[in-house]
Amino acid sequence: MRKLSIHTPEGVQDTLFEECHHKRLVESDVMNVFEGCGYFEVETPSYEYYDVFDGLDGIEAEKCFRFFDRQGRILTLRPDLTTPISRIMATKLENDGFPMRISYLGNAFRYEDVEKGGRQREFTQSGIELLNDPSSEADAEIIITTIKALLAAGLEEFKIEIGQVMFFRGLMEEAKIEKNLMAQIVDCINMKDGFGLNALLESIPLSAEKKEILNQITLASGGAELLDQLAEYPLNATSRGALSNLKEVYGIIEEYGFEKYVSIDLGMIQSLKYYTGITFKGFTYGVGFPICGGGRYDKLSKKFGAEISATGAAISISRLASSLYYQKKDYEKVREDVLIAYAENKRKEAIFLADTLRHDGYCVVMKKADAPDREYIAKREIPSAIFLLEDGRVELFDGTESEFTTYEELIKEEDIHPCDI
Amino acid sequence: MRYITVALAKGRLSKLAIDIFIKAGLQCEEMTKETRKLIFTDEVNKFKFILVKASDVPTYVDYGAADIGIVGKDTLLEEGRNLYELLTLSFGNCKMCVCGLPQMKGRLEHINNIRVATKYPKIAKEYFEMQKGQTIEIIKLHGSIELAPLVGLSEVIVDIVESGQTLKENGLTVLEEICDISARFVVNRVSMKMERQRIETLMEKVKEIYGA
Repeated sequence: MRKLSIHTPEGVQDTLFEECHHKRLVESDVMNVFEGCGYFEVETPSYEYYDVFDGLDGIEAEKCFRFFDRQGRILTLRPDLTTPISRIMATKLENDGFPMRISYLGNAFRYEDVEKGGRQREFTQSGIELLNDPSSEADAEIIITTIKALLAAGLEEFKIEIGQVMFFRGLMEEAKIEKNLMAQIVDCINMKDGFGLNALLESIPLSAEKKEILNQITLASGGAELLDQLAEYPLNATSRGALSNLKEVYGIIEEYGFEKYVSIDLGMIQSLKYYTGITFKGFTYGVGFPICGGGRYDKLSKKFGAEISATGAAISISRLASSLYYQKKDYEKVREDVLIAYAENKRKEAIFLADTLRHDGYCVVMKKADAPDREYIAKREIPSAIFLLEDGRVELFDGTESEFTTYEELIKEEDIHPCDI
Repeated sequence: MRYITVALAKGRLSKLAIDIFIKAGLQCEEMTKETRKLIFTDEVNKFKFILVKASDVPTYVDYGAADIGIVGKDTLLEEGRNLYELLTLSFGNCKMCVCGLPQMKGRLEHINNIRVATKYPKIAKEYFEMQKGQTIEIIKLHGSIELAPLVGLSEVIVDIVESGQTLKENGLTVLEEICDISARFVVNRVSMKMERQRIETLMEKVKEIYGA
């Protein structure tokens, strides 16, 4: 039998030094933008009652890590971070009618098929939710804040694709289409499979014009001109509302000068039951999967007995970090700056020296050693070392050359810079 | 300019695909020669071509290791990955069918424990369970599927039928048709957003030459 004690389970990973440090930098870049835009952080439990997530579109029961408490109630590791925030908003915060901005950063857990689609079963997400504001301004703010966060993390080339599910809903409103067939049509549009779509549409009582629109949204992607083109068709109120919502959002994004990062794709109609308006996804080089996504989900809070409009975004921190890594974006690396090795009778001096240097922002490691340990600093690539010898001498070593001084001399200087050593 | 990588299913399909790409103006003549190389580069248009096993094409494209793939719908259905299927190419037209001995015709629903031999367990399971509401036992095979009903390994098979010649020679017949199978031009979801223009240009050319 395979020895399990030396492995991690499928779908979870260790994150070691450099990678972990990089991930924290990305997290703080993103969270700083969120906070600067008024989205303050909340933390929710790692596990909740399964009922919180039960019946949600896109979160199937078999994707949840479920277990029982002692009373036999079903618990689950959180498969998503938005739903608990909706629960909080509906149950704990005073609904005074004013917009509420919330951010989060944490791990979610889903039983993903690891061999398919490179998804981990534990993944870090950070995101924002703007509640109680049904306006296009709110939709735009979420996308703009997401763009700002990606830019702050150092990403330069990326595309945010924006859709609006109500446009498609509007098109289908009058047509009575059986559920199974509808699912197939949605699949075809999502896969941009124009051929399959036309084969399905043949048997459907839908006007030639609507079929033409469906074909167009399946393939077309573009800017404001695409919206004007679609507006020329005879549309019902729902579809028209979707277009004007998109147009407003696009206009606001233009005012920020961010239009080069966005394009419109009305064929993006996933999770139709969950989303109720704008949806979007972000893409970049280096990872084959979206790095962020979000949209408007006004119906979710109903599950918790409230009616609160909501729009939000989530950034996959791991995917963002790995695309930055792939695109070779520079970041401040972690390293040990100084080693202080000391003889036992010089511990006190060593501690003072180390804390002084740390106070100045250096990373200092300490080691009790009777003799200068050059092998260690070579192995760990530490650029400089201070050896406090038993006889009172102090050896300063820069990796190649040594210089001798005394402890008194060393601390006499106003600033102690290892670089000067 | 970045390279755009195209994954081709080794075999008959890749020969047809290479032919189209040459006509579309890409420089991949080298691939028509007898060679064991698996990766080819068109430095002029910045394209790379890789030859992979058919069932691996969706994997390469899904992960973004290839931006574009040419692969049969059968493989796409079986692999069930999240890709854009932008074009249906009018070569490689076949049908996915349930086949068996002629006396099985019309009797499928009346067999309690039906055993289905196939290379396509997912397609078979979905057809019987979702569309027909019938629970089945899958027997996964890798080749010579037609043999299974003849030696009593299974009641029926699910396989691709092109001319029906192999079936006929082995005394089998098509019992039910599941769906049409043709070659597809698939694209990674991220590549479609990041390299839309170049991919669309290529698509238009391919469409002119062969498309439907």
